[in-house]
Amino acid sequence: MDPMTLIPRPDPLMVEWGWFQALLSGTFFVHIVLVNIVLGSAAVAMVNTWCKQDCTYPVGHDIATKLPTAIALTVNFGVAPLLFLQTMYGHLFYVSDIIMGWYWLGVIALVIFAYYMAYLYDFNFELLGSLRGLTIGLSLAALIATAFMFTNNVTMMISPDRWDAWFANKAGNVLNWGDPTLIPRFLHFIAASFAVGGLVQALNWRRESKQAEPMADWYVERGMKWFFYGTAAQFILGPWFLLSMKPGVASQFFGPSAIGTPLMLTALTGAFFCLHAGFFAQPRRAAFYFLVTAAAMTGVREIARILYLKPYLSVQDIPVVEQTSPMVMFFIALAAGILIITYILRLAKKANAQGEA
Amino acid sequence: MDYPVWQIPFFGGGLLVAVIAVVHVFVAHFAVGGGLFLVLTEMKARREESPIMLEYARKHTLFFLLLTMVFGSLTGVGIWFIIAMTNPTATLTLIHTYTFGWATEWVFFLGEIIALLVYYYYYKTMKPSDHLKVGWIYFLFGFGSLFMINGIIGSMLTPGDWVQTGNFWDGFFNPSFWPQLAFRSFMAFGIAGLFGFFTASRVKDVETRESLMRYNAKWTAVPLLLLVPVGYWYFIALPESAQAFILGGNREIVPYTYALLASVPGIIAVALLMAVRMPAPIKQFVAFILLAAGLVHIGSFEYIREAARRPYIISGHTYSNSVKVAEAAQIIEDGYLKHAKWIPHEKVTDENRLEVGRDIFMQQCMPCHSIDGPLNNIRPLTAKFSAFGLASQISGQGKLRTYMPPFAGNLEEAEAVATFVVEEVHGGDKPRYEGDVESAKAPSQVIIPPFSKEQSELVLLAWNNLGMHCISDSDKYWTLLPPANDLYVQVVRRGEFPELITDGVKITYKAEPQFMNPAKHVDFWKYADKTFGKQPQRNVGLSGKGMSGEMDLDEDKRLFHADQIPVVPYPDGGGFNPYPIFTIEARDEQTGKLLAITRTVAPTTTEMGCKNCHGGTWKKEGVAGFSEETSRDILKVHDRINGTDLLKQADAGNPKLCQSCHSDPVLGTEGNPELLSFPAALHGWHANYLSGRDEDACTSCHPNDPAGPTECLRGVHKEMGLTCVNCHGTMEDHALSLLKKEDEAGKKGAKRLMANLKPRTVDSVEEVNSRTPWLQEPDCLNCHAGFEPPETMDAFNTWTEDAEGLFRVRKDDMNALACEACHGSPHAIFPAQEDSGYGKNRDNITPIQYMGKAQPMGRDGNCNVCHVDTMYSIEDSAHHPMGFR
Repeated sequence: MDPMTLIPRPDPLMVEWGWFQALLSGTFFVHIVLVNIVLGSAAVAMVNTWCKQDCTYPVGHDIATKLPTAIALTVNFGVAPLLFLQTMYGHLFYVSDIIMGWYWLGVIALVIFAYYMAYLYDFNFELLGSLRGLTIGLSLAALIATAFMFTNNVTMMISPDRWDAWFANKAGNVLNWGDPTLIPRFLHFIAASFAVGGLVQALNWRRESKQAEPMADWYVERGMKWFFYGTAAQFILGPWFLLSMKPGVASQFFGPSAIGTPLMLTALTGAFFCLHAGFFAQPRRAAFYFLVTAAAMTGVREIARILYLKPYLSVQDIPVVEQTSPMVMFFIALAAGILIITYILRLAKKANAQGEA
Repeated sequence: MDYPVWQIPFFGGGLLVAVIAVVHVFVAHFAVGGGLFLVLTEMKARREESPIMLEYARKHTLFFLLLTMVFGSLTGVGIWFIIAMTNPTATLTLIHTYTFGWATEWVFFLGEIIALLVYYYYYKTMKPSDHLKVGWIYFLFGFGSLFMINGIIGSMLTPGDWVQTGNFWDGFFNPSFWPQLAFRSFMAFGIAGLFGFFTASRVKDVETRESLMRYNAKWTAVPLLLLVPVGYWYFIALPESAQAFILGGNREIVPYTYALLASVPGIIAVALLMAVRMPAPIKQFVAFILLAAGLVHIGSFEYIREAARRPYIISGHTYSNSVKVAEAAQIIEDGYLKHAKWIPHEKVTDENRLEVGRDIFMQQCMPCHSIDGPLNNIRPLTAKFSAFGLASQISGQGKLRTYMPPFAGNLEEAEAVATFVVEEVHGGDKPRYEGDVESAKAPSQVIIPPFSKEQSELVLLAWNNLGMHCISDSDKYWTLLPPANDLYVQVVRRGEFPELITDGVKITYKAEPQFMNPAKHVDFWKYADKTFGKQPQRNVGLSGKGMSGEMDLDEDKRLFHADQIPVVPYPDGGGFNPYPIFTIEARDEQTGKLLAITRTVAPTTTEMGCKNCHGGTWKKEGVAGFSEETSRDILKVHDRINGTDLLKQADAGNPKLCQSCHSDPVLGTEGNPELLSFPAALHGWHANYLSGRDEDACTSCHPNDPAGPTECLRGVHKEMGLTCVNCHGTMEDHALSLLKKEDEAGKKGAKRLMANLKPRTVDSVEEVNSRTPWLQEPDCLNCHAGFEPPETMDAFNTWTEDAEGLFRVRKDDMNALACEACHGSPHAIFPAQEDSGYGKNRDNITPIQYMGKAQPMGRDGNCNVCHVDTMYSIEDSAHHPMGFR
């Protein structure tokens, strides 16, 4: 079946696609960084329960108190890119939603479960005792499963040639197993998360307020090991991912694509610097390199999607029926929101200061 | 149409949405109202300097956070997921129309999270005034979210000018924006009180607990009381169609309306009761019950709101089957398969019918209907239908009853869906006839009376004025036509100058013995006083004529007649025979001497196919008659659609004559002058369901199914290949001709029935000529112009001026012989079918008797049947020109 005949008609956009692309990329960058922090920190917390040493207690405890908040922000920052993605590619995304059916809807249950497990881990940290590992492990498993579902969905979405899977299974039980990019793509993000989990641990224990603690440096060192090995793994997973892409896509990042090539080079350079910073246990530098790399990779990801979909559609061709005033409303709300949030955080900071005083 | 369907028929398209949405909105409203509750409770605690209450407020905040921020947030995303999967078209419309509305709401959502986390985690460490500021900010962000969502979902029900303009603001600030915002706000505050009960009932300190109970009682009762005026404001902002649905026009809504209306006073009463001192465990239990009641309350409201916008998912823009209103007409014209991207067939064939039917069902029906699931289960809803009936129902839906959207497809596609439902869901189609038609036929011998051209003095020409008299043997429930055949006879004294005799003879009629006891077979006599206001004796008709007797003379017309003979098609020995034979005798009035004898058929049938759509089976022999189930369903449907209580009345022993309300010239009833005539109402309504068909539309109700036991059209026109539609037009044409007459008379219901009917024989409704049923029929001369061979076989749209012009009333050019005397009854024009299965030449007795072969009287040198010893030829005819021979 010709995939072209299956592609739904897109609805017109309200403003030029570039606005949505920018908003999508920007919010997704924040989201994916938060995802890495949450998933990686959950992994770190769980692994720290394995060693059964009191020395790892503070690591787990610190993660426990912050993880639910990080999940809250991750969910929130997942909503925005999902919205902008749907604005441009909803007609493709919904098809893959439907093909995945139960698996996709299951994401909601998985995240709720992960979220409550994280709160259980936080509020009952002491009480849980030996069940701590199981609790945070279940949360981690749900988060990893969620990541796998997302990977399935976004790979299915950009592959209309694989949509005929629906004709063989219309009950929403399809995963995108046959897609060669599925596993490397998924592992690519998981490895990044583990690396970032370690980095966050290192950053936490490198803070001045933590340096007085007896094992602080060891925690930093352990965290940076996670970061180093997680990053090193990308040098296997990354090429695997690239090589698994359909013909003509990966090569675009090495010359032909005017935007994709510098983004890929930036990402690769950033990754090397991450490796360097990881090896020499320099968390703050590593954080900077990671953010640069993640930002560049976000761009690479967007370009890869455009290239994948090129035979089928071009987002530039989606008609625009311009209405700018709602966008103005959004930016005003965003600015006001940021100001108010800043004010709240300042009140919190003031409270912290008063508490310390 | 553009998307694949997640085929989960047990859940349908609605169950998962309903479950996720109801629990989400319950928690989401708590997130808004509860925000205000948090700060006001904290203020109360601080004002009263109550550390216990303050601790309660803090713990309540944690409960609030865990419920709203985790479960509430994620189920909100869950709604987004599930609506995209069950109605992607509409979801994408909402996403594209309100992209920045959603984005703004996302900002508020972010603000809520930050504010709530700070509010909770800094409960003990932040300066109280700062802490309350954060609490207020949380509430404002929460209310902002409600503000945004309210505008977007409000536009789905009351889109205002947005449908035309596509403008964000037109849709957002839609006609129900403010009343809905007020309604939801009060609901949110009330729900905050309910959750307040839930947490406060666990406070250990008795005084604080009781104080909080009184506090929560106010939180619950006051907003819910204010819901009453605000609810009315909201209600009047809704479109009329939605109001009508809510007020009972939509049966699906009714239980939810009751639940909503009952939940308000119920919750208020229990909430006030909670202010009374009671042991904590009881209060905990009641608090739980109150929460459940709150869920019912908001769930009912949301369900009503959803269902009130039927047949749309976005009012005026997208039907609930995902078809956009602007595209529907084109899809119907082209056929759905031409537009459906995810159905790999271009058209319906015998091989793919079931598969295509299943696919279309999943795309167009499953958005609302489940198969064996809890919501709108298709199985009981379609149990009564045959495939034909269901296809008719599907192709007519959305035209007159606007609850469901019009089926987006052609008749073949509707038939495919019907095939899927009856074959796959119900396990097989219902037979048109449950009984064996041939076995059910109870023929009787046709004895042709003697006639001698040399010796006989008289020619008796006898006929039934109608080619078929349909009767409804559903007397216990309703009657549309009583047993009442009209027999006519003209007596010709043969000679060089034949004359019609009216004096000195007595004409008698008598049915075959097995038809002499109709009262044994139908309940007409049991209910005649209710339906006709008369109580004739058993086996005697409404005009006093029994199954045998003397015919009356009409001197003006020079014929004899016996009116309303109560003939039924059920012979005493069992079986079915719609063609009972009557023997007609002419005797000398003085001596009683038998002068002449003839026979004729009094065609009567109960083979009317109401059961094809209304369910049930045939009553007699599996081939004819109205079963109880069919009869009851007809009343049930009538009552549901028109707000009548006919079934209740019938059950109480008071069945009605249909024409007592709907006027009908054939019975001479005037009915209710505001209502459509019976033929116009019946044909007008059903034409909307039977459009696009040919004679199969006619035979689905009238007794002319080629496989049936009656085959009403049995005259020469059948032999020529003509069908019902040649004379009467298609169902749409036929109905329009009747409805136009009603419309011209100012009957208000006509336009509604005409709105979706497109004439097929002529180009426009304007070109359809209106007519009075029964009195204006197609004239034979439309085709047989000048009595010449026909150049057309289309007699539709030129009507006799009045009853005088009808074939069954008219006479020849000499005003002597009735047309029917020589040509037979309508639908049985000589030469009629040789063998109907009830006895050879049953409908040709007259010509066989007098000429030895079936043909119009006088044909082929048979003028001498009457004109004795003459050499008349066709050219000499004074009856009418005889060009057609």
